[in-house]
Amino acid sequence: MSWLDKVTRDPRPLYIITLIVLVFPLINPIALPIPISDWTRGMYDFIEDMAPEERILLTGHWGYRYGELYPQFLAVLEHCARKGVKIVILDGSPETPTFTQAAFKELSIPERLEYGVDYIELGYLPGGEVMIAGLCANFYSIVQKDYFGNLLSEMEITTDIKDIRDFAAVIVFTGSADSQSWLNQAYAPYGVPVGHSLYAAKVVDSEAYFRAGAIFGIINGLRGSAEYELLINRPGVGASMMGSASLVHLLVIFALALGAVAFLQQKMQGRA
Amino acid sequence: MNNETIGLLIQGFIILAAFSILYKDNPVFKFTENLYVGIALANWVIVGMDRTYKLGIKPAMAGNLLLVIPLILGAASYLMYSRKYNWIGRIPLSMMAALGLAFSARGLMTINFIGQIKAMMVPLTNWENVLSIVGATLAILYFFYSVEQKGPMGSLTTVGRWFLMLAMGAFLSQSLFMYCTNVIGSVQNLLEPPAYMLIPVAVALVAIDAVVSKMGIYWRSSK
Repeated sequence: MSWLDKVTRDPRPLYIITLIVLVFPLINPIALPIPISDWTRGMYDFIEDMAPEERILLTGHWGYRYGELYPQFLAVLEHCARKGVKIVILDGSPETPTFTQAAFKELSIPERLEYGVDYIELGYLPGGEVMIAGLCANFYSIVQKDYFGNLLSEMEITTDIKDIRDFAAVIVFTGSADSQSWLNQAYAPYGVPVGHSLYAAKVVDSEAYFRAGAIFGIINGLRGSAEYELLINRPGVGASMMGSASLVHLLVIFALALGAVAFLQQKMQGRA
Repeated sequence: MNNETIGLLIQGFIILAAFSILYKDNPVFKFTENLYVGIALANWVIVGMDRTYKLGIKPAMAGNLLLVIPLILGAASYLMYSRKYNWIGRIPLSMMAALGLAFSARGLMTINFIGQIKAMMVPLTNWENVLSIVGATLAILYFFYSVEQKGPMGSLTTVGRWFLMLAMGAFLSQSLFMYCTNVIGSVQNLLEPPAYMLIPVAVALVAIDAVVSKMGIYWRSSK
């Protein structure tokens, strides 16, 4: 049995090589250039052009610290906080509030901004697209209290909200169909600008919307968050993980080439 | 040892247990797999019950009688499990499907149909635009079944299929990037103190298992 046969039959040595390639840049960071894409630039420019009194809705299910969506959320939240825009947060799943609180703590949001005036957390609301439709048409018919049980009608940031048109934009952090739901319910009927901050696997779907002008920007997975971190001059988790991602991808290309060579070799020997 | 340290150690153990499937199937991996499913399910059940009570039962008892209708429909969905009354259980499910379809249809025409056609109306001034139009046209042609796909039509649809494969390749590479990020994130978690202390323990356990397995094979063959 040739070594190529061994590698294709038992991939475990490849796992070990992947682990080494992956860990090395995490211990010794390597600075690879990260060019800014039009997608990320679109998102950044939109928030940059917002006036401080404008309101933005950040919604989605950013998960744990080293996932794809959390670094994106962190970067966008930081940008919004710096700009002084009014931030309304709608958690997209039951476990999201925990990570929202973690993000507030990491960015020292309670020390920098006033809760109920500059930012607010609505918590998780069930109902999927039907809930989104209701929220867009009549805000108070769907939600009356924030995550902590305070009445929204008594909060300065939410007291005058009637429908989704009272928001300057919606940014959806997701890897599921929520991205389409907000386009259907906020952009199509009311013309409220929508931005997508997505898992890398979901970006291919949204590119068509970006080209069509239906969304103003896309943050593309880990790479997008690294780009955004550079744009706001706050390198974080995204930028720190990009070295590993780049090297692992080089390894994958090498493994693909190796697999192709093994296949051709077997074919020539009449075994494939 | 404070709560955060214990939390990081548990997190590290679960990550290593999940990765242990890369070595071979084992009870620790199975335990972690079941733990994940159990916790996720428990979380959804508790949140579901909490939301049903706070958003449905409580306001209904306070006088909002309109909410009684969705509550009855929700309860009726459990009749799906009854052989005699499962036809009643289909009513709420049908309503949910119809509502979902109606709501999603709202943006379907403007965004997914007219919007995409408009996006294709670009000046043929650069190669990117030319390639987009040719690619989209030929890919759509691939799904045109009224004409037999042979001769010149067959050649065109073959090129259309290549464009579709390119799109799928892009999708696959993006998916790979996503999974890659998850692995990097997990490893990043493992490298945080004190979780990294579990790595040599895991490596030692794998090494012991590998040696014991090899010795077992040797003993069996020598008998």
